[in-house]
Amino acid sequence: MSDSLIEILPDLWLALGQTALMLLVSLAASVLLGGPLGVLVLLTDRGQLLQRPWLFAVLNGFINVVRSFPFVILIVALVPLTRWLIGSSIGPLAAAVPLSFAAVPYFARLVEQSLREVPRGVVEAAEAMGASVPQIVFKVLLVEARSGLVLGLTVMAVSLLSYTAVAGVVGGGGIGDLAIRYGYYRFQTNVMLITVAILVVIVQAIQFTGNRIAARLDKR
Amino acid sequence: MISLEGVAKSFAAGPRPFEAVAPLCLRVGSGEVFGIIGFSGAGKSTLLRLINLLERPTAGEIWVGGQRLDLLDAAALRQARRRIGMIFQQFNLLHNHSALENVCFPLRIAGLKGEAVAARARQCLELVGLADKAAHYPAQLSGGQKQRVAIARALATEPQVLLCDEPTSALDPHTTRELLAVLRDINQRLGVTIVIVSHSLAVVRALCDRVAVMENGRVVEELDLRQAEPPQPRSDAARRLFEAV
Repeated sequence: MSDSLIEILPDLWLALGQTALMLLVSLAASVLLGGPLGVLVLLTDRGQLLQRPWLFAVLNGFINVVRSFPFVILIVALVPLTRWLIGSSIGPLAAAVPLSFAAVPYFARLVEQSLREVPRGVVEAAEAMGASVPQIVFKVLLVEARSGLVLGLTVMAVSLLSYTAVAGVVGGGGIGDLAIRYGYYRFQTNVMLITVAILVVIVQAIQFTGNRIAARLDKR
Repeated sequence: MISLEGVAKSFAAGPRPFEAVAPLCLRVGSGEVFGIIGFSGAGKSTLLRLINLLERPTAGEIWVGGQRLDLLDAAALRQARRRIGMIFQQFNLLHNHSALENVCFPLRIAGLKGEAVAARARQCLELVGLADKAAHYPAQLSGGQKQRVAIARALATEPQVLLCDEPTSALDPHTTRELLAVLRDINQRLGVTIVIVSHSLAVVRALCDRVAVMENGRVVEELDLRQAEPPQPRSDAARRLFEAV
């Protein structure tokens, strides 16, 4: 047990770094692109502040279509885009491209759902006070929904972590890939157990942190 | 102060539009407390929401403080709305903001910055007797206290008009009396014109100078409550309301 552990230690550090890289890139993409997309899809829906039925249909359709793809297929389908962006379709940075592509509409949907929880009356009160749409978004919707948004991001992070294991298929590396290569292909059960245990710890840590922050932010 | 000229509102509902407010004229003088009373679904909230254009009228003209609101563009309407405060049945406070921050909100969106904002907000909380609750979040306040924070918030930008949409309907009788006292005090001390929607005759009687009785989207009667003798309602709706007490 300890021998094989020492043997894979360098690999383990490398894999942890790769997982962190994939996770950070795709989380950043989901917040920077998925967040605005989620706000926009809410605002353009019927009865909302920027009601635009056709734009809503396009955005909503896009989110649903991307989310319909099994992730493995998305990876393969996006190889040309990945090559164009990164210059290669192999490695953790390359794997971050399809990860981000899957993460953006996923997070957009979570953002949209959180913002829908804000009572209509609160938005109306802001309108009655003469607030503009950007003011309502930044000072009412995002503030009132902030703990839900943090929990959404937490769910995202955990899902993306398990996606990174699949990304190992295209040479993305990472901790999940390590579990598959050593534990599954080489029948080194103990290595698999260790890597899975590490994943369990990471997931617990993410969820614990997310819950704590959300609770701190929630004054409702 | 407020003048609705031939104002009507209908909603698209199936083949025939639903007429929530039939064409009507209504005038409220400066410093007056005007009530709108009626049973549920009479169109009184819609009528109130037409005054600050939360509902767009399908016909007619809306004048507040000498300005015609229904012709303003979005930016000018936002400016005009800062002179019209509004409170709601469900208070509609920002739950993740303290009482003080809630009162600061309309001042901040009006572009005010710095010390003056918090100072003015404190002043407004004092006005409604909640200076000691400035740091509390809405979840830590009672219903009556929440509504008083909402009043302080509505008054922060020194509006000429305060619109009240069923402000006491979520409150118990004792708290209702307290809140009505706050509203009367504001009307007398600041001279703010108040329009209040209620289904409760007791509320209207305690507070209003005049009242419009609504039924099926129409104002069926206007009564003056300042007279010494009790009002003599002529319409069925008004009689039913007055007899129910």
